[in-house]
Amino acid sequence: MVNLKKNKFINVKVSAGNDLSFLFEDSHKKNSNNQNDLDKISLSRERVHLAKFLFIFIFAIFVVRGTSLAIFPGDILSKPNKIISNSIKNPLPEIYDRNDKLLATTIETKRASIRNPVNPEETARMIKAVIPDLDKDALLNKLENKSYVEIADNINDIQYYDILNSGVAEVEFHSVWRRIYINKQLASHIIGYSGRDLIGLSGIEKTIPKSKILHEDIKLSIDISVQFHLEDQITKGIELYGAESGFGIVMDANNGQIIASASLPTFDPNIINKNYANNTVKKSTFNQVFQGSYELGSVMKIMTLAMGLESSQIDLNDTFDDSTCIKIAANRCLNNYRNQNSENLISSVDCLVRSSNRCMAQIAIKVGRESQKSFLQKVGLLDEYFLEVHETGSPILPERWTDNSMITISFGQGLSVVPLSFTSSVAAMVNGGYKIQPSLNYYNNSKKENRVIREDTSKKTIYAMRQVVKHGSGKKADIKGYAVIGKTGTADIPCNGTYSGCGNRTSFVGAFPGWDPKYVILVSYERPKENPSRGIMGESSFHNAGPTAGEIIRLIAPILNIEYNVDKEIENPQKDILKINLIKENSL
Amino acid sequence: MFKLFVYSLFFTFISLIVFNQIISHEIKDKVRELNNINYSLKKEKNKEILLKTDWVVRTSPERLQKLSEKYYPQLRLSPSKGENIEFINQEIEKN
Repeated sequence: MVNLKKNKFINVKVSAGNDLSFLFEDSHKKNSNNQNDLDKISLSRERVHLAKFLFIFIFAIFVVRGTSLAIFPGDILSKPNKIISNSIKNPLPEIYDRNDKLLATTIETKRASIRNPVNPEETARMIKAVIPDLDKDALLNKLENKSYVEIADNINDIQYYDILNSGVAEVEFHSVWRRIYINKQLASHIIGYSGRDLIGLSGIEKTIPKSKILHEDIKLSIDISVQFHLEDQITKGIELYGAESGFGIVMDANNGQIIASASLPTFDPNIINKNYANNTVKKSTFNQVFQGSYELGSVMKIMTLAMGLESSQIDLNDTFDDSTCIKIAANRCLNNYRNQNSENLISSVDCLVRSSNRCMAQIAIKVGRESQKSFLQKVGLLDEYFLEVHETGSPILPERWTDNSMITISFGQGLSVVPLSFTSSVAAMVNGGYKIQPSLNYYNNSKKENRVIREDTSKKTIYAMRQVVKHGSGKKADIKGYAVIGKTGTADIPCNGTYSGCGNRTSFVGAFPGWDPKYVILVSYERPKENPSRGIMGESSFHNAGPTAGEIIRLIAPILNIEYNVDKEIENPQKDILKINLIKENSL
Repeated sequence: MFKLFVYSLFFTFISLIVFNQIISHEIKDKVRELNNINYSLKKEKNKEILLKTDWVVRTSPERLQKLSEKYYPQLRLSPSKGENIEFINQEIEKN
């Protein structure tokens, strides 16, 4: 067709008689084709223009945006990923005591390892040269069999450069965080310890990951100086009295903050992971103060006396017959400790001073079984308690609260209590009668709201406790100037279903200063023995727990900012009533 | 007129590219600087922790007691007593 169009008069032969109409047709067609082509050209030209303007428009946008960005840069929304920003912060918070002394922190150290050594023997020799402690054969064995061998953990800078310069090419260094417990075994039961990957395994360390306080420094309520004196004195005591273990606690009587808590023998959290297979080390991680549950003995008599005074069944001047027989079995009367019975009638204060079991049993019988249970429930001895750490124990109650168990519980046998909750209930007895919640957090101030005993009951209890320290078994804890109040206790440790011949648990619970008790202290030893060569003439708490508590009070009272006053003495809150009674008797 | 416009666009574009190169180079420099600062900060922080730790170790009650026992003949240092505080209070009252 194209050929036909261009050379139609040359190529096409026109002979006579042929229809020539096609010539007209063609020319007509040609005209219309030209018109079409013209249309097409104009159309494409328009399109090109459109595309050009589109491009210019887009470029204009780029230019305008680029120029404006160059002139007004604005904020950078995305951070370059090369910047080290998150790794500066410690992965775990630091732990401080109440005076902002550091207890635990995290530092960055290096871990050296070897990957796929070419010549294991030569590598082992070179590494042995810079780290002499390594066992060369064991290392060689590892290097030959494993593709990745850790050679040293927590290396210091000198060792780092030594290993770098040793000539081993395959050595790799990884930076790792390491938790450091600066005071070693001090307060280790409270702070706890963490594993290799900084996961807390006990104490406060275990609490950290599960709470919101992660990445915020923690301030504990403990005072490390008080903690040191407590642990030091009890350690010395264990050695002096030949005890198997011992524990102690100092608590703020007004807000329940734990100032110090020692459970001995203790452990060093820095090296616990290496030695955990050792059975004695494993045993020492048990926190006797928080987790244990013990029959504390005569110290429980404070509760019985307070209960009697609170129920108004007895008064400080009421007298009791110490020689009556209180049947606890078919043919058996209740005995006092070492049968030290008084022949005369004794007042209820003397009951506590003499630590008479019979007397306490009489008080308990007067008050009644149900009231005793509800009173002990009220002061918090029968419940589980809550603390900032996971290691908490629960008391062991008698299977059935019979009359016999009522009598034995009145002087502290037959009911195992957690030392911490016992201390907090004693604090409630001496702080004016308010129940407090023990706490390890410095900012946690338990308010005095929940009243468990009346204020005058509290005052009477304090007076009776003062008489124990002044005239009774707590004499050795009577530190001049603080009017220490307290009560000693010597309990039999049950074993194999009996109470005889299994040794004693001696304890002393006290508070100071006597005129306004601020701190409660509990010290206890398991199976202490007499040591005549060093002047220890007995096994009872008069000879061991009492003196230790006194020494601790003497050392920590100045630290805790306690007023020293030789002249202040606690007066009998019932003195006036006593006088009136005397006058009445005289007039009669 | 149109040609001029296109040429000016072209030059703007080229200049922007150059400008961008300069800025990105500067940013890289700054990032490098920031990394250095962060790294030194990290090192200083680690040093600070070590110093703090060292201070606590040096002033730990255990160590102080050992030292006070060792140098007792020269220094006569012992734990503070209540009597001392009373004495200080009396002195303050006197003055």
